[in-house]
Amino acid sequence: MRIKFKNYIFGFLTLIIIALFIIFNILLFLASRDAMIKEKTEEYETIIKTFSNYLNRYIDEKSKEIDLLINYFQFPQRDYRKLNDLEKFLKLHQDIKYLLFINESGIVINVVPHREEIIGIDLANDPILYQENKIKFHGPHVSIIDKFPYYVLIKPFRDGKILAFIKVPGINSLIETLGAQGYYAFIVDEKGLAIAHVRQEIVNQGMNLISYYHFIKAGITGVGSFLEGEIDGIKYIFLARKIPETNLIFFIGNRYEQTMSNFYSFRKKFFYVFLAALMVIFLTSLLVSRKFSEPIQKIMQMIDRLRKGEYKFPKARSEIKEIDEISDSISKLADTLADRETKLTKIFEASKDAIVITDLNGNILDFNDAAAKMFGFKDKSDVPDEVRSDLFYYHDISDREFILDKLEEKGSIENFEVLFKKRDGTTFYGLLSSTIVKDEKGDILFIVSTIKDISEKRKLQEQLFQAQKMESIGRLSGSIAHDFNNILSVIYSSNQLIQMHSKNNPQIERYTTNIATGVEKARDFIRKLLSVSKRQPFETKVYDLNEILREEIKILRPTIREDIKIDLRTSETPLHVNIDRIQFTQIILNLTVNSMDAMPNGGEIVITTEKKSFDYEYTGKHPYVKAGNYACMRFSDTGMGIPEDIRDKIFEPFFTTKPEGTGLGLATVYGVVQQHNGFINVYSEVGRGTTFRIYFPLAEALEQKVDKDKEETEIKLRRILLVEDNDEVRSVIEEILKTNGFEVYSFSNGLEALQRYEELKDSVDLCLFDIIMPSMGGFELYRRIKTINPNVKVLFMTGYADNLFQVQTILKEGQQIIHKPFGVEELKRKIREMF
Amino acid sequence: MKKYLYISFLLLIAILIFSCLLNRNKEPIKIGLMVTLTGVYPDLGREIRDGVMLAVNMINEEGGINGRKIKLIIKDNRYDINVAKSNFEELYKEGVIAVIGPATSTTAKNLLPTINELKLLTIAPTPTSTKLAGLDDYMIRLRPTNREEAQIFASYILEELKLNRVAIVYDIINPEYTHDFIENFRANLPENFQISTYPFDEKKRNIRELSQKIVNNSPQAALILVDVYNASLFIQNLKKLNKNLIILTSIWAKSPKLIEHCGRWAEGIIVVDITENGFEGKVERKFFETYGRPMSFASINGYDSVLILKRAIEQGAKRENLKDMILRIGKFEGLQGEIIFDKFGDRKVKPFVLKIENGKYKRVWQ
Repeated sequence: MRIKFKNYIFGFLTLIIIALFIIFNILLFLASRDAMIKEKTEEYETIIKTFSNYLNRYIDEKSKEIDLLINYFQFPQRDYRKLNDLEKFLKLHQDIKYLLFINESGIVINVVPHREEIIGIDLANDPILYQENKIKFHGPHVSIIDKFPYYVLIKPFRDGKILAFIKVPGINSLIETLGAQGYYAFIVDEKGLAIAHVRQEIVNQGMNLISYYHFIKAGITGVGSFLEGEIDGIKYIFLARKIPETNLIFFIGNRYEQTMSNFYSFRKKFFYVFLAALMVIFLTSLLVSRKFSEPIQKIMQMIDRLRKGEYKFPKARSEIKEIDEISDSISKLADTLADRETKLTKIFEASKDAIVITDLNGNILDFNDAAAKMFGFKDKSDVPDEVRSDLFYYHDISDREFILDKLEEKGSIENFEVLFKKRDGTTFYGLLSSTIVKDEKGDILFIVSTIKDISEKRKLQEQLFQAQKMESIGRLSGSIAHDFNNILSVIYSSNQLIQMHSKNNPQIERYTTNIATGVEKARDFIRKLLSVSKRQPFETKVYDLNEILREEIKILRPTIREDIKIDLRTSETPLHVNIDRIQFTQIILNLTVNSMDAMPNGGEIVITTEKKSFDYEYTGKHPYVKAGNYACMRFSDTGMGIPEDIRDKIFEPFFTTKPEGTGLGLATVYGVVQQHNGFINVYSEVGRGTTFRIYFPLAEALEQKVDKDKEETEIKLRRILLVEDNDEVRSVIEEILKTNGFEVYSFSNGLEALQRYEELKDSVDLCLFDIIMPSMGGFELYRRIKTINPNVKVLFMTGYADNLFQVQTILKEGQQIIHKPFGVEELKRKIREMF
Repeated sequence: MKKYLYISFLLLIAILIFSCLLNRNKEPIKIGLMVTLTGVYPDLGREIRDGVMLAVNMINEEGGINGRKIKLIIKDNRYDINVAKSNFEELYKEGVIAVIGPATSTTAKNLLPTINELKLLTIAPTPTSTKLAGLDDYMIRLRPTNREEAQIFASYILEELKLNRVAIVYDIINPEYTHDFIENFRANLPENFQISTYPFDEKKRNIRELSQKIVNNSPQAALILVDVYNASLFIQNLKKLNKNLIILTSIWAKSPKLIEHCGRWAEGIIVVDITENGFEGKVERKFFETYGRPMSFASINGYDSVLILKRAIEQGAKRENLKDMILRIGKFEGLQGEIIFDKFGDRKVKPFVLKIENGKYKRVWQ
């Protein structure tokens, strides 16, 4: 419960005035009471005294009358038993109702007026006589004579007594008169029996007032000057006094309110003063509260503006120093808050990550622009209210439930990958970190979440994974190719030996020709496999991409279906690239086949070339691209396009959508491009076509001369040092060489050959080394031998090239490589190229 | 600080509400008293009233009944049956739980239809008419009936005093009592027992004449069935005429005043009652301190009436079931012994004979 300042002031001042009013009342009451007691005491005493005087005078009078009667009967001739004189006496004194003459024993001798049955009765035990010695006048007593109450005056008479039964006049009328004047008066005897009363029935009923009113006893015993008592629910104040010469006690009083009328009157007037004071207080409190509440209101306004996020506002100024100090403090606080909020806002808004504040129900309470953009909106204002719930943005709603469970369990989660849904329904991966924010009581206020868009990262990861996968496949296929080529070498070479030894035998020749054809196909397959795995050693030369493309198209065009149009749009300037011509042909061939398959109902193939340069900023975002200048060949078709779900698999070996495809076409393209330090990307729209962009690093233009004379050169060398770890291969090569007139020094490993080379170095014209051998490979052997003989000529045999860099180095040093399986002619051609 | 202020304020409100509810429950229990306080026979009623008043004051001083004070509403029937009926109806309307009264059998007999009609329990402290007994009504009586008293008287006269002639003086103004008593008295005496009856009318003031008449018929004893004042005058006159005459008085005249007003002739007066004088318990002392006189049988019965009501109310009795509750309880502790009621609400008690000796009532027989 809070009260307004105005009410507080009013209440406070009212309490003070009420307290003053009460204190004043008490003091006034005490003072009034004292004054009243003094005044009333005098008033009541006067009345009682008047009554007492009256009664005493009456008693004296009656006493004298009786005395006169007694004197009358002093004379013996006057017989008191005779009634005439006595009856005359009673007629003269009508308030005396009976006269009884009793003897010393208490026996009634005579009674006037005469009552026969009373004569002779014994009153010795009657209470009337008990009182005799105490007071002369007492009563009233209920008389045995007629059962009426009478006051009794007793006088000695001769040997006995004379008893006058008196009905005292005026007592009741006096009491009635007092009653009419507003007094409450009554008389009781010493036992409390009502003798006279403003209410006559109380006397008539013989009520003993002690048992009805507690103050009666105090009045009889004389305790206390003033008595307060309640009669019939009304409060009275009494004064009680004993009437001298009697057993009677006189009580006189007034109603309490009447007695204290002055006090009540004054209090009534004071009450008006009190009301006036209240009005003054009210006005004062209004003024005072305004004086205080205005600046407080201003302070409140400042706080209100602060709460609304306004930090620039004028300071409240008043005439109260403390208020001004508060105002200054709030102003400083506003500056601090403004500074803090600016920082927070900047952090909030500048964050590249989405920051979203939600409640437990998923209602979005706040978010930054980055969040809006991340989910496909222009900015915050672009996000309608009806979609401000995180329920809209989870691709899989079970993710949200899982996250909430984790949050409730741990209070926060970190780097949780979630697939989110954008405004347009597309999805992206976000890295979600959330924290529950609680208040002091531990109640959850809201959840703060940051979301980092990791789609690009995931893409890179996928590419990396792809590359690693390709690498693994390459290693595997290389390993297979190595062993397979060795086997093929044995078969191929053996077949050649058979052909040589069985000339003119058409049947064997037919068989060996079939074997040779089979081996060729197998060798071609292995070559493709090695191209995919980028382990096919190739021979590069600098060509103008535009030029070789024109040549390729020229060759290709006749093989393309008629419903497919092919268009070449080359750049104006030549684009020199260092390229293996054969492999390039393979690229164009594979892409064309692919496009033709994608356009069963015809279409167009457009090949364009251009120069492209990538700076470091670009390569930062695309790590598979190296900075530099590139020749870009864009190969587009208008085919059916590649569905998105398989787009990342098209370069995988053996992945095919065609019933009879090998799955090596695009894989070969990818491998060859990679081997040329280039890169490839694909853009495809289902139903509209596909575009491959192939980038080759630009190279300096070189004059390429083909030494055609060498073709004709006769091989003069005769001694060959053969090192091959595979016994079968070594054996068959050795035999072929020997069959063709070569002298062969054959070794099964590099170490042995190296040991013997010192002595053979002058007699060996050419070394024929297998590249991959246990303990010491061909390249290592070459490096060692070269220290012995720097002019050594080595022809390396390989099933596949494990270390292409070394291959390139060796080629530059004038050595050559021959791919297994090879024929005699091919060997001879290589030897010719070397010499 | 503010919190304590609020708590204090709420506490204050709660106390006010609680005290209001409490006061509501602490409204006084109203008990009516309707007896004759003025008129022809006020003494019996006043004695009852003072006994009732003492009991009420004592109970209230001790905190009331179940925390509720008793409010006594007193009505004076002025020995007028119409006034008595009117009084009774007024008390009924005022919501009294019960009425104590009336004092005389005649009033009680005439009021009984009204009592039964209103079904307001009435405790009659002193009426003894046998016509009031054995009725399934709303009146509970604290005195034995005339039958028992007359029987004791008769037995005493026959067995102890061995008398055969008795004069009876009776007040004609209370016939329900006097006629009933004489009838029962006669019924308990043999046929040869001589009974002479003398009706008395107070207005005629012929006590001396009647006394002479009685003495002239030489009875062995005189049974006086009038109030204490007239009884005193009769006794003094009869004794004066025949000092050997045995005086018997009914309970009507049995009061300390009888001893005071009879002088030396009080000695030897024989009465039948169920209470003894000279019993000085706390209540009797209190009564004496308050009223300056000893308790009479009527004030004792008045006092006992309140005790009976107190016990029943303590047991949860309401106006509607008060009679049933009292009858169910059946036995109460009275000022001078147990009070046991039969199923009709008539007290089961055996009276005994007392004689005034040395200025005091003394139990002499049974």
